[in-house]
Amino acid sequence: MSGKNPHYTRLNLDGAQRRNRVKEMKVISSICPGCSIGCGLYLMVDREEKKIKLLHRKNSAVNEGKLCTFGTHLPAYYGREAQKNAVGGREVEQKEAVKEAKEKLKGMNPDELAFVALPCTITNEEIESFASLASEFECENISFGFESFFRGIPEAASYIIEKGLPFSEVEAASKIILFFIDPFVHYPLLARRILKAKKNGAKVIEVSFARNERGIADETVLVDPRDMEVERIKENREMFEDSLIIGELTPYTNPQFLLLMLWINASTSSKLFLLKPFLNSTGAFLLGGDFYTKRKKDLFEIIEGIERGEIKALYLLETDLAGVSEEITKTISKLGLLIEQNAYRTALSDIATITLRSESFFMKKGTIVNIEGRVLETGGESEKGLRTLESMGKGRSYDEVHEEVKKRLGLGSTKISEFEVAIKREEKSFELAEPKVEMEIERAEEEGYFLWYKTNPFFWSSGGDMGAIKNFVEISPWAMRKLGLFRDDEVEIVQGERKEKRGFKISELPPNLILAESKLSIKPFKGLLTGVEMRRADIKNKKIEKFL
Amino acid sequence: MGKRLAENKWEPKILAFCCNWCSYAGADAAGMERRQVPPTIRVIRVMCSGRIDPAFVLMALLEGADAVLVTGCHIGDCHYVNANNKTRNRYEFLKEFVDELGLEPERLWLRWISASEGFLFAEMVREVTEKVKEIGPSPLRREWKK
Amino acid sequence: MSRYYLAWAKDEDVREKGANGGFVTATLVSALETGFIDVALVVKKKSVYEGIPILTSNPEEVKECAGSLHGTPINLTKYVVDYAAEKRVGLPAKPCDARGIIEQAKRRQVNLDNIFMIGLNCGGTVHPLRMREMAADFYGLDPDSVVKEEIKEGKIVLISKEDEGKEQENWMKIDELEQKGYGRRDACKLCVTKIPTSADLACGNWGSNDTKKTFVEVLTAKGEAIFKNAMDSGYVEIEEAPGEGIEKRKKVEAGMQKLAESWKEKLDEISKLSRSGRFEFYVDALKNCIHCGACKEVCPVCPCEANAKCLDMNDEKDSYVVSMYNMLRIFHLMDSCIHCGECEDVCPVDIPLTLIQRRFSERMQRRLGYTPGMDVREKPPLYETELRWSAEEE
Repeated sequence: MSGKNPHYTRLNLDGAQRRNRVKEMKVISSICPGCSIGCGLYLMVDREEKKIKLLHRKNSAVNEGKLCTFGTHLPAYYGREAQKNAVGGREVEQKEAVKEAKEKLKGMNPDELAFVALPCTITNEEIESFASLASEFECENISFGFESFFRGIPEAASYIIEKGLPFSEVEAASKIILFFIDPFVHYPLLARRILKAKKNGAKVIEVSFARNERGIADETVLVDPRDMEVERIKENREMFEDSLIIGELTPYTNPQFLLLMLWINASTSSKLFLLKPFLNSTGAFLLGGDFYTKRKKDLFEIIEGIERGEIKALYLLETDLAGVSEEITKTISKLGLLIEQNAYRTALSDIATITLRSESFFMKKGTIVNIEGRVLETGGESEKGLRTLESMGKGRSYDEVHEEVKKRLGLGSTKISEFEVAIKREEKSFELAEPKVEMEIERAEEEGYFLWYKTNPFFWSSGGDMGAIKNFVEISPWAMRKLGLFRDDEVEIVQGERKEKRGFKISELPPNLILAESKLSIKPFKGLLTGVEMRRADIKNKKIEKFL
Repeated sequence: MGKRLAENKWEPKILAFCCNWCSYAGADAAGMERRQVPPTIRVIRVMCSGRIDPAFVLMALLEGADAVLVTGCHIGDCHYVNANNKTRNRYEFLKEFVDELGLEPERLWLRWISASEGFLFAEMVREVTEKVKEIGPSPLRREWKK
Repeated sequence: MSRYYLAWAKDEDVREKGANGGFVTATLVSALETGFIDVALVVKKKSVYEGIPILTSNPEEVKECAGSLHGTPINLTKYVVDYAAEKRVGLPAKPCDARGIIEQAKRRQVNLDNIFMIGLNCGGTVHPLRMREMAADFYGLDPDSVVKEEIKEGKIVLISKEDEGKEQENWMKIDELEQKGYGRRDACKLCVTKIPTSADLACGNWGSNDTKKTFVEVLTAKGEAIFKNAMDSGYVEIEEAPGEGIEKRKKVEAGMQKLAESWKEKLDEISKLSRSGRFEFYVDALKNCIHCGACKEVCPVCPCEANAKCLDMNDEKDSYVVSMYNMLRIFHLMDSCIHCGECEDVCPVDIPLTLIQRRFSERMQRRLGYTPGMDVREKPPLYETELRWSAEEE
C-alpha cells in the first residue's frame, strides 16, 4: 500500500519553507494583549525567541481558545522591531542605561517629572512597581490613562470604572443594552457571549448611530449624530430597566458621556459593564495607587504640561503613544528627558534620551486582571522589566512584589486559577444628579460628515502589519452617490489642513456618518464623533479623468 | 453617473463567460446574423472556458448577477485539447454548491456553443432571461436604499 | 497484507501507563531509540483538560505521554507539516489526524515515506471545557481534582485524586451525557471513520480481550516495518489476535457508525428547511464572520499560506451578503473536507462550521464515491480532468 510511490515522493519544499518554521517547540501559555478580555492562547517559540507560532488553547476559561483577528495576528505583533538599550541614541549595556536613567531621574524636580504607563502590556507586578517608583521619586504625576474619569463622579460609583463583570453574567442577562458598542468590532470575543444570551432568550437592544450590520440587536434605538439626542436617551430611560448595559471606556471617552451612562445606571435598575481597550486596565485601577482621592494629572493633562513646559521629564513604560495619537508624539519631542522602557521600538524611540529594553509581553512572568476580574498568569519566565523598575526604586524581588500584589488584590493564599473570578464586584447604589450633558461636536460645515471611530484592538497598536488591516472607512450609499464614487476610487477625509486618503466600504449608514476602525491623521478628539469633510480623492489615472 | 431605473422595474443582469474560440465567436455570429438577443446579457471573453475559475462564478453571484452562464467549446473541440472537460467538472461542483446554498438552479448554466451556432447563443440568452424573470432577482443582490 | 495481532509493551511502567498495554508508546520509544525515526510528535498531558503537542527525540518524554487523552481535541496534521516535513517522524494518529496527513501528502506538503502513523481507533473526543462542566454538574467533582479519564463500553469514567485506585468508579453513559447536550464534540458525534485505515497501524482496545493488550492491525509496509522494529529491539511482545477479536472490532465500529447516523438526524437542522430557508440559514450563520482566518489556519486539509485564493480574492471593502473568503473556503473543501471540526472549535463567533462544511461537502463526496484522506493515490476530484462518479450515480 505504501512504499515508494512515484507520484508523491517529490516533496514540494517551497510550501513548507514558506511556513513559519520553528526548530524547537517551547510552548508558552500566554494571554493576548489586544483588549481587556485577555484571551488565552499558546505561543510556540523557538530558542532565539524570534519565530513564533500561534496555537489555540481550547481549555482557556476566558475564550475557549478562540481568538479575534488581533489574536490570530499576534506573531506579527511580536515580530516588530525590538527595542535597544541606548543612551542619547548610542547603544549601551542595559546596566549602564539603567544607571543613567536612575541618575537623571534623581536630578529632576518631582513636579517636573511624569510617569505614564497605559496598561496594555504590563503585569500587575510592574504596575505596583511603577507606582511605587513614582512615589520613591515623590512624583504625583503618574497616569495609567483613566484618572480624569474619577473626578466629578461619586466615590460609590468608582467601582463601575474599576471593575467589569464575569461573562457568565452577560450570558445570563435577560436584557442587554449595547451602548454605542458593536461587539463584533469593539470586543469580538464578547459577541459570542451575547449570542449565547440571545439563545437563552435575552433581548438585545442597541443604542447607536447606525444599525449593527450583523443584526445582533433585536431593536435599534438610532441616535442622530447631528445632535447626539442626549435628551431623547434620557427620556427613554425605561428601556434600560432590568438590563445589563454594556459600554466602553477609553482615554478618548468624553467625561460627559461617562456621566450620562452612570446617571442612566443610577436612575434605573440596571447593571453597567464598561469594557476597556487595555489588557490590564483592571490591574491598573486596583494597583496603580489611589486614583480617587489624590489624583493627579491624567494622560492628556500630562501632555498639556509638557506642551506648556511645566513637565520636563517623562518615564514612559510599555506605552506606544503613537498608538494613542500621533499628535502626542510631536509634543513629546519637546521634553528634556524621555525615558522609554518597552519591548519594541516606537515612533519616539529615536528621539528618546534613554531607551531601556524589556521583554515581550509573552515572556513576562507575572499576573494580570482581566475585565471579568479573573487573575491570570502571563505565562513567561522573565522578570527583566520588573527588575529594571525595581533597580531604580525599592529593589524588591519578584516574589516580594508578587506578594504585595496578592495582598492588595485581597487574594490571600488562594492559588491563582483562571477558572475563578477572584476579583468580584459589589454593586453599590449611588446618587447622581441628572447631568446637563452638552456634547458639542465640532461640526465641519452643514454639508459635512461625522466621523465615528469604532475602536478595536488594532486601533491602539501601531507599527508592523497592524496598520494595514482595517484601513478603509465605511460610508453611506448616499455619500457614495453624492461623491460620484466608482468602485476603485478612494475618498479623502479632510479636517482643516489635514487630509488623508482611504479606500471605502459601503454600509447601511445614516447619510452623514463615516465609520473608521483605524486612526486617521486628523486632530484627536474626545468623544464619539468629530466633524470632517469628505471628497472623492484625485483619481490616479489622469488619462481617463477628462472623460469623466 | 448613470440612470437608475424606476424602483419597480427590475431587469435581469446575466453574466456570460464565453471562450474566445467557440462561444464568443458564436455570440459574435448571433450579432452578425441580426438575431434578437435580450439586452440582459453581459459577456466576458476568456481564452478558454477552462480559464473560468469557480471563484469568478461565485464572485459574479455575490456581485448580484441574477444568473451566470458558463459557455465554451463542445467537448472534444476545445482549442486547448481538454480544458473544457475541467470546466464541466467544476460546473458540477458549482451546481451542487449553488443548490446547497439555497439559490435557484436557474441561476447557473453550462452550455457548449460553437462558433457557427449563433442561433444557439441567442436561444440560450432568451431561455435564460425568461427563466430568470420567472424566479426574480437574485437574493444575493444588494440594493442600497434611498 | 492486513494482519491482526495483540501487542503490548515489555516495559511494565509503559504497559501500566498506556491506555491498553502501551503498544503505541513502546513502538514510538523503540523507533526513537533505534534511530528508526528522528522525532516523535506526541501530545503531552498537562491535565485531563490540556494537552500540548511536542516534537521530541527524547524517548523519556514520549514515555511520559503514554495513556489516552479524550479531553484534549487536537489535530496533529498542521504540526507535522510545519515542524516535521523534512524529518522522519512517528506520531499517534487518530483517524482525522491520518486523513489530514494523507490530504497534505496529496498536495505535496509532506513526504509520506517519512511519516509513520501509529493509528488510534477513536470514538471521539470531548471539548475540555465541556469535560470540566460535566465533572462539576454530573459527577459532583471539583474539576481540578480529576486526574484521569477513561472511555470504555460507552461510558465516560472520571477519576479524581481521592478516588484513585478505588474499585468503585464514577461513570456516566456517553449516551445520557449527549442527550443532555454534553459528551463529545459535534464533529465527533457525526464522524464515521472510527478506525484509522489510512494510517500505517491501527491500534486500540476494540477487539482485544485483555485491558493490557492492544489490538493492532498492520495496514502498510511502513507499519509492518516500524512494528517489526519494535519487536526486534525487544520493546514489544505479540500474539496472534483471536478470531473473534476481528469480529468484535467490526461490531464496535458498526455500532458507532450507526450512532453517528442517528446523530446526523438530530443535528442536521438544515435538512428540515426549504431551499430559501437554507439560504437564510447560511447567510445568517455566516454574517457573523469577523474574518480572523483561524478556520483556515487550523484546517488540516488547507495547504495554502498567505497566498491563498480565499484571502487574495476576499476584500473586506466589498459589501457582499456572504464574503468571498467563506464562499471559497466552502467551495474548495467540497471535495476534501474530512469533517474534523477544528474550524468550529476555533471560530470566535461560534459559526456552526461543522454543520455547514458537512452539508456542502458530503453531497459531492457521496456522488463521487470519494472519501478524502483515505488513499494518497486518489487525486482530489477538483483537480481532475474527468470526474469519476460512484456506481449509484452512473
